[in-house]
Amino acid sequence: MKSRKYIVDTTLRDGEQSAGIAFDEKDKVRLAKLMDDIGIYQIEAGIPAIGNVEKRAFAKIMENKKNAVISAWNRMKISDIKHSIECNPDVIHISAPVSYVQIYSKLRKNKQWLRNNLTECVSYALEKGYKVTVGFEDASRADISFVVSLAVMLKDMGVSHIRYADTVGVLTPHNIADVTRTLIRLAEMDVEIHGHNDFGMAVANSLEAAKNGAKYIDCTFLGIGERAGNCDFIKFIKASESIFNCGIDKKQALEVQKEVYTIIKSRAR
Amino acid sequence: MFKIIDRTLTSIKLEADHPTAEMLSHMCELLPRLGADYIEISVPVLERIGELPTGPKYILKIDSIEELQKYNNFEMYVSKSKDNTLGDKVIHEIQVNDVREIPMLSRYQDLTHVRITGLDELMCAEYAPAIKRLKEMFKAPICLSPQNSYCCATAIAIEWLLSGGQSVAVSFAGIGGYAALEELMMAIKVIMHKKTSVDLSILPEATMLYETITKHKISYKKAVLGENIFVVEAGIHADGINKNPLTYEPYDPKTVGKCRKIVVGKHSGASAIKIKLKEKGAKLSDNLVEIVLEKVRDESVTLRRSLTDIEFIHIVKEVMKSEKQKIYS
Repeated sequence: MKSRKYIVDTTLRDGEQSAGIAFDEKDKVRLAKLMDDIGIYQIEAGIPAIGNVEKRAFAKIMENKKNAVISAWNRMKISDIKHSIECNPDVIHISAPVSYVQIYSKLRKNKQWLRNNLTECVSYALEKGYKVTVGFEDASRADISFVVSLAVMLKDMGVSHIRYADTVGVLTPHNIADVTRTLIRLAEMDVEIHGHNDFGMAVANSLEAAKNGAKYIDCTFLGIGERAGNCDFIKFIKASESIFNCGIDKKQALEVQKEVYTIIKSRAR
Repeated sequence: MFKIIDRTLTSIKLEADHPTAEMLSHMCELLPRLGADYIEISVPVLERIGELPTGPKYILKIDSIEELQKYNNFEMYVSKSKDNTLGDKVIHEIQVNDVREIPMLSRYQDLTHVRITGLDELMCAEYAPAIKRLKEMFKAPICLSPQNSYCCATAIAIEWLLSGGQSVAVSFAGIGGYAALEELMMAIKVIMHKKTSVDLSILPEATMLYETITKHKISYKKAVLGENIFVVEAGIHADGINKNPLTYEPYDPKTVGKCRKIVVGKHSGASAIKIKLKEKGAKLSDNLVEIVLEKVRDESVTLRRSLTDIEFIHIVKEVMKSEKQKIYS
């Protein structure tokens, strides 16, 4: 029997976040419904902190949803999480930048600050009764010991699973296999893999992570996303169908891809 | 260092009068600068070009012994023939579609030069033992030309080189369904940290020529080549890149002949608005930045895309005008 893997679709968050693409409320609600219909396990529906347009879309997505888990993406800020809570999603996802370049250059903080702030944010969301997942942003350029220590801490706090993000797409299959196995073995947590396609290896890397135990795979339709994009949903399904069951009807998924393409092509010039 | 064979010119479609000899010759001149040690050409391409540019090393793809005899001044040839008597200038190309076929390749172990093409689904299997077995099976080092049906060709090529493979056959933009030359060269440079003398800043020129030759536009987000790969809208990304480009760029855009550009839209934050204002030589109070941000987000959702610089400036002017009216009313 093929091993079961779970697709986390981030077309409506990381996909939309790429330059040149903006979905309106109608687009988001329609696409989320179609994704739910084809068996996508989790839909990362957006960033409520963006404002009312995003929150209105979230409200309708939550109202319409049937089987999919709906998650809201947040920076490591209580104010972001408060916006998400207004939308009452199934999962609150908190993104924590973990590489030194992210911590010291972007946040201009240190590792201890990150640990404290992450603890505060996760505790806040958990206390409000939400299922919480944490994404390790730029994990592929981070110190693996630091990543593992954070994962162990989060597991103890009650975080459901962690996302390992190859934010700038610099991993190769053998690297991703190694870090996936290490995380699962040392943190004893389920791992979600989030690949980027900067060197054309997002599908291969996601596949290799899945082969080495990652339970959740992040994808976007048409591979839209920052720079060269994310792991392309249809391409991943095609590459993995001989070894994994992702619970997706590929024919129907192709129809959703067409819909995404139509929406993107119809942007006002 | 590795031996990179480029098979772009055996993958393009030749029409009666397109592409021209000049276009093909120009591509022959650019490919070595992008890292190709050998350029593979077909007989029809050779006949179209006439006299090949001097400098690059060529491999001629032949379909028969007659072609080998007719064009006998090439350093190397590539052929689907498994006849070892053709001489040691011939690379024997063997198509392998299924990993399970690998053990059966042992019957070709005595061939002097071998190229294995295919193995699209290698990543769906245990690829490391398969690569090891391939390398051990042949007496001489072989060349691998992974195919891309499962979008894993570049990854397979990289894993081949990382595990000690010495030669790969690829193509520009992955034409013909192979690993992409530019992805491989950037991965060798950035991921494998190998010093190369390759100048990838000419990629925009090569891309334009490729698009002219193939009449096919490369996707705006194609890895390494896409025109939008260094355009940033998201707030956290714009903020991070402004502080240190390494935060969200795997390499300097200039390496591949590009520039980074920040645009504003639905996902922008206040810092992106400030960066954009600064770029345009303007500065607003934090309060007005917030108003501009809200209008930018609304307009972006209405248009379902990022805003152009003209649209952004228009919003800024409107906000400033309305602020002045408030002051004087």
